[in-house]
Amino acid sequence: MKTNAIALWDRLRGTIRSRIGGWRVGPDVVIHGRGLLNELLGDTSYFQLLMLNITGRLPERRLADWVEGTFMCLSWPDARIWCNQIATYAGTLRTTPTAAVSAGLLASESRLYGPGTVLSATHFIVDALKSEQAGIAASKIIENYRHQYKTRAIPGFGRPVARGDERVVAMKRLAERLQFEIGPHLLLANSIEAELLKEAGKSMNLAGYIMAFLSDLNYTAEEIHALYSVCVEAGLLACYRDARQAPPDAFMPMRIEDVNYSGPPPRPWNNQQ
Amino acid sequence: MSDEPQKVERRGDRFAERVETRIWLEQAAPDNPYNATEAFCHGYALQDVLKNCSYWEYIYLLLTGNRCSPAQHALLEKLGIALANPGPRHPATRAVIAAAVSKTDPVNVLPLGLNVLAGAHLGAAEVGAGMQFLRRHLKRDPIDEARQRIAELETATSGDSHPAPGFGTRFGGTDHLSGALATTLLLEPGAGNALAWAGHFAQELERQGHGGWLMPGLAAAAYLDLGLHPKAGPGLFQWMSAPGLLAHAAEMSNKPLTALPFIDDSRYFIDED
Repeated sequence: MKTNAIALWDRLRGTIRSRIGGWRVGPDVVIHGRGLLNELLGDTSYFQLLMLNITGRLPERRLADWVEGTFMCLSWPDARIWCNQIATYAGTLRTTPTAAVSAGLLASESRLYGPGTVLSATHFIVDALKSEQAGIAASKIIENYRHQYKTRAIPGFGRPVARGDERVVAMKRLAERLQFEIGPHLLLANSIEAELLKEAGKSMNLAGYIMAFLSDLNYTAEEIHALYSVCVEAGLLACYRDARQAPPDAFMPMRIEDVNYSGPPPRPWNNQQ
Repeated sequence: MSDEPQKVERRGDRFAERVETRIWLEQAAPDNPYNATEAFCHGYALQDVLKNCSYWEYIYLLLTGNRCSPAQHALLEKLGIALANPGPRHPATRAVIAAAVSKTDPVNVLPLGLNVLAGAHLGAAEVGAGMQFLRRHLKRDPIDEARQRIAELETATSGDSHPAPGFGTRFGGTDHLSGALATTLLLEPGAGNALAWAGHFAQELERQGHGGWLMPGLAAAAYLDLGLHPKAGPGLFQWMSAPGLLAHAAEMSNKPLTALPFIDDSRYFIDED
């Protein structure tokens, strides 16, 4: 055995090395060098704390409030939304709320909506800005992306079911009220939106807006991904509770005839086959 | 333009009125259209299947719509044994052990273990990626492919490296247990091109001191030889690993919180930012 090959594992064995902090039993909990109970509690909002935990940086209150606003826009009590539907199934089968939320959160890691869209939308706008700074126009950025990834879809633009995104309008209003300025990523996202609206009536979706906004404030794709990992929680719990209070197995009941069978007709099982 | 009020409306996608399946047909009870009297899996009456078919034959039928050959049946069964327990040091097993000891609701224990087992490192995501990798490279020479990937490895990586998903080092060395299980599976008549190719690939990695077979690679190759699609692989890997997670959790579920180490403060290091 090569001893240097396992040196790393031996060094880590039986210890925990934390870059974030930990619980000092008695005095306080340390989060990135700050005391939770003696320093942060009372002066810091939950969203500031969440962002500190994820990034190691304590954001100003207005940014945490803006992020909180996006969470409000990202999760509604409508059981047709796919992740909410899953929490509703959990409620109708009487799981615990934690199991329902966990199932719904997993479902929201989707390529079409929810935190599953964060990485592609952030990478797109970050790369797009580099292209723009190299002199490439918004229309060409769209064309290049489609060519490279062999798709018509542009991450952060368009959405399932609806055209337009009323949430972006509301969040822009909130950003203005909180006196945030429009940075280069968002400016470019607006130009790309103008191109896509002209071409196919596709507007920026909330994910596209959030990723551009936070990229302007130097948040990385991985940080944003972690931050939004539980963003659909409110709607999940609302739908779970709704189903939990209704009779069991009563959510969208299906008759047998409600399933279209398209497989082979009934046939005998022949062991000689 | 973006700052003008947007008109938000339903996009008019045509959603199916009913779900469609080729897998399952039910016959409705004459007295209640929600209850079935008989079910058919890909055309075979469940009662016939119950009387004539082994568990693994049935699983194969469910997943593929086809009846497996005796060789496929044997490979699937052996693979089921090989994958059934990731062992008490695997992070997914350790997750369920930690949950069991800390008295997590038993209904949540397996799902949370399978969540951990979803990862891109030694988990289900690596199985899917491994299937894609093997499918794309089966026509190449496995020795050349291994050499090229070793040459492309970044030398400065700390910890394990996987030159291809499903293959590489574990704890800085070769995962001999995975290798031994692979050797046994390779003797099966149902072992095909993918297992054989992966065997040569892993052997070259090992010869050059870069590990070899890892369990996700073994699962990926066997699944391909069984004719399964890469999208089926991750879930199947999670499910096939579930018995071991359940067993280890059950073993610990009645033990007190003190049955697991709780690292002493003297061995918990908080690195300053």
